[in-house]
Amino acid sequence: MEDLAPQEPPPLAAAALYRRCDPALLPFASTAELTPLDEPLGQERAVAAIHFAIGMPSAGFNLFALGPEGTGKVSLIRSYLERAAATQPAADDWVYVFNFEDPHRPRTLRLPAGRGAELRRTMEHLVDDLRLAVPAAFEAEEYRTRRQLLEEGFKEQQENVFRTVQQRAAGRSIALMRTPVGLALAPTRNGEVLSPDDFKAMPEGQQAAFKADMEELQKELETRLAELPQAARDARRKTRELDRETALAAVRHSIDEMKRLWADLPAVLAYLEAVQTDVVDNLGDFLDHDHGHEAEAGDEPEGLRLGRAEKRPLRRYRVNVLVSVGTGTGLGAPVIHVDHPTQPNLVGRIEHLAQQGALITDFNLIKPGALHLANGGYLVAEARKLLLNPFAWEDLKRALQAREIRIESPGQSLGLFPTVTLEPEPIPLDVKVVLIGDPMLYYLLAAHDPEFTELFKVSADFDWRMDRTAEHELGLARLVAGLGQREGLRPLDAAAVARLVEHASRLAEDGDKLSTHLASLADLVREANYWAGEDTAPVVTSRHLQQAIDQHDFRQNRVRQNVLEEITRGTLLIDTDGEAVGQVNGLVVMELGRFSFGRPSRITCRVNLGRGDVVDIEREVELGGPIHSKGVMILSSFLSARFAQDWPLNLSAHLVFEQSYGEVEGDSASSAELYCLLSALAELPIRQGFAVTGSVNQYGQVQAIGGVNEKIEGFFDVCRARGLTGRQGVLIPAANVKHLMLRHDVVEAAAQGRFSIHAVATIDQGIALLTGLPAGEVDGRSAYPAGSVNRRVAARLAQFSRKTRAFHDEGPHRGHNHG
Amino acid sequence: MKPGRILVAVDASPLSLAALEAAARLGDRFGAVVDGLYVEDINLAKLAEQPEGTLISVLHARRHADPHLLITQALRLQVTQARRSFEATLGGRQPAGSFMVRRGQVVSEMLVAAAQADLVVLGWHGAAPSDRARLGSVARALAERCPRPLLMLGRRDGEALRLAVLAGDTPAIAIATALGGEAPLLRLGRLTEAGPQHLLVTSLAEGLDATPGSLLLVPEA
Repeated sequence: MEDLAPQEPPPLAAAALYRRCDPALLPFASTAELTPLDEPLGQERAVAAIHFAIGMPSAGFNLFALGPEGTGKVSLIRSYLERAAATQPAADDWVYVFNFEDPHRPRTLRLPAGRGAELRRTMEHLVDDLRLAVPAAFEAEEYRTRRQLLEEGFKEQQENVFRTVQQRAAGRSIALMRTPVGLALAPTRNGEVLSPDDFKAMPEGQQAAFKADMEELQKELETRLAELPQAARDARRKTRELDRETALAAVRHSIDEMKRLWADLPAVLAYLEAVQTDVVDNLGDFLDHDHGHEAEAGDEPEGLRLGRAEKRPLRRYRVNVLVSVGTGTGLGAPVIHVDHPTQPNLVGRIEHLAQQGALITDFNLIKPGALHLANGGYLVAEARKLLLNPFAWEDLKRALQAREIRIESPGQSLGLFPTVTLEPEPIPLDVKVVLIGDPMLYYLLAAHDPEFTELFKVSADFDWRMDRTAEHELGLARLVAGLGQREGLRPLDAAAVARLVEHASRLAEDGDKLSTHLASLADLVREANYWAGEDTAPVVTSRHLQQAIDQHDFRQNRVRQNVLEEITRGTLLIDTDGEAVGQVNGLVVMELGRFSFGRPSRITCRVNLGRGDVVDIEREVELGGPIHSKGVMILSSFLSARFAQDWPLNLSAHLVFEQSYGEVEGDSASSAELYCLLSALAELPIRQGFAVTGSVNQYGQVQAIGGVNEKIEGFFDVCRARGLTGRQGVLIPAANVKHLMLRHDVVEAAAQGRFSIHAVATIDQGIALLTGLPAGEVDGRSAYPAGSVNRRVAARLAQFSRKTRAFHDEGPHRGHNHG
Repeated sequence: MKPGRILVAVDASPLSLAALEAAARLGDRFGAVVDGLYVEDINLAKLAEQPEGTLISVLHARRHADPHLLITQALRLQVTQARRSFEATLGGRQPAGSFMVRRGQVVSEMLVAAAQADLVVLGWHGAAPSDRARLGSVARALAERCPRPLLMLGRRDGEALRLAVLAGDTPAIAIATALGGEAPLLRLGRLTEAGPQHLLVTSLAEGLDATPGSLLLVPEA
């Protein structure tokens, strides 16, 4: 590419420094006349994405809304979601109930919207009924009599065995006696057991008869006693059957009534069937008098209730309503915004209570998460918060992939705590998730998380700016009208709206654009309304708006004032007049939170014989960022390409931001550094009334930078503090002219010729302006015209080259000896 | 009438322990001497010595291999436990009573000992205390022949008793009132089935938790 011809660019006209909004062209006198805008402004792409995501039923078409904060993402999404949700059916209710087959795996029941609470209530009534009906049945005379008959029957059987054998034994003068260790048989006489001597004194035949009789009785006794355990078992079985029969009779009526109530829901009927079986199998729970307190338990804290859990087995007949219409959703499909998306808040949790040193739980302590509440509707969460909370992101993805909500504590997920706990049956999930985050998060997730793009297939990309068209200017005014109506603010007159439009351009850093950072603009309107109130003005005028801008600026500009003060007092060395070789005013932007301002920074360059290095001192001490270093390396390339086609560069140049003690990043000072380098090489002074901004490429083209307005204003403030001379100004890239939305005082000074802004496209244009000499264009013999900057640079580099060659030819010692 | 000497039958069974406890409380209330009596059944003692005797386990429905040793040990254990129970409950109290061991027929030995006492307390295993005919043989014999008021501590059979305040002047009520000391309210049960000689006692007095369903028998004047 051929080097461009040098042309010293004239100062920009004042009109180019600021794009005014003419109030006369606005089609209203005051915002009071306007219909409030209830549609988003300048976010057509994002709105289309939201509509698409809401309407798209397929899995994975969840939405990620990306854009800078303050662009109204949250309120816009909520309003669209709530509008859509209102037309959709209410979500079903979900309850957890006891699993009678596997108590560690509570079961779910899906019920039509609103019937979860009804099931809980009717189950409570059922248990209350049973607590009265079951004991009543067992206290009834009929039951008691039948039970006594069964018991007496067995006792009679026992007695019969004893009595029968005893009578038979008595007939043979043998006693059957109860002893602490069994039944004993012994020969008697006159009712008394014979002593051994008496027995021996009997005739042998009589002794043998006794022995034979006892043997026979013993066998009979053994046979009869052996039948008793079976009789005992029969008696117990009959008693159990009687109990079951009695309980069933007591329970059936209440359960049948429940079944009639829930006849339309087979799952509930099956549950009631299981309840009936369990009640009959666990009658003791209803007969224990301790349970009498269960009725008042409703008002007790859960902790106290569970504290007596062992005495309260009736808890298993409760219904834990996890999600019900009214749980926080209202009618229509739910729209849930989870503010604190921790893992438990998202997927639910199982709470535990400490009881006598042990942690206990049951299905009644299962608590819903936001996914439960949003099931059948929409869940909105902030991506950053989600990612900051351990396990939350992974569990959300797992739930969306599996399309079910599985409640697991983080410890369970990792298998850390193998304690006995619950494994609630998962709940099928049908939810549209909307994540809100800044673009960087979106791009990082898309790049590093392969599941992300599968699960969030729709992105709503909120723009931070919009075109400055008449339509958008009017739209902004209608937004202000809506804000005024909602918050009771004064209307803005046309001039105030015009000023607001201009400010929106300044926020967008572009005269052709408007910022969509509605939060900032709304705050400005609120502040202007305040100042109008201080004036007791009925409408907000452009003066109030300007006052709001100035006051907002004033409240934040302490550091800027301090820097300016240090410059004017000579602590920070900045020349704004005169000339200096190898020294130029660069411009930097300092960002303090959301407030940023520009300030000049002196850049100097020293050159000497060397090996062709342009040393960036900032980089050497690790204060220069990579982009800054890149800019400095481009300078080397530019120098080599332009001046070292026939011999090597034999210079060593050192560039530094003077009095800079922090990190320097960005390449917006690379043109300034190049001017400084050329000045040092050509030994030509640079006019210190100028400050420079712009990056440069290898061909010497000056490229656009950011923060152009703040940078110009920063140098202007310094010059004005010292007195504007008319010889001061700023060189900006020509490509930045469209971004100019300068402060009124800067524009005014420029209009009066007391301060100038020059748009430069090439380094040659810039150096001509800074040195007052033409840059010089290479001629057919590859030479620059005499008296040009480039001629002097080339000559100096040639001189360095000759000296280097001589140095190498003659050797360093000779040079040293004759030096 | 206030008993000055109480005799309690002790055989270390759960109900006899309850009887011991009740006797101790009655003794404290009336300042009475409480004596313990363990009767070693003469027939069982002889059985332990009789080589021809046979012992059959009710649990296993089988003959014990060495019945004599087992019965001897069981009887020894019973008397030891009875003595320990008596000493644990009444040891050190004043006025001091004595623990007696007699060998013989249970009923006759009890009747002999009862003659020295003002009140006899014992536990009994009957199920229907209102029905004297259903009492065990020992209890029935004592109920019929005991010359002194007899308090038999029964076992609750699960039947809910209707409660009433005692009123009237039958001998049983008189002795019950005396046993109640200053507390005139004796809550009794099944008055319709109570005759002048026996009352079903649910609670002797405040702080005295005789087993509900106990039977208080008073000999005819």
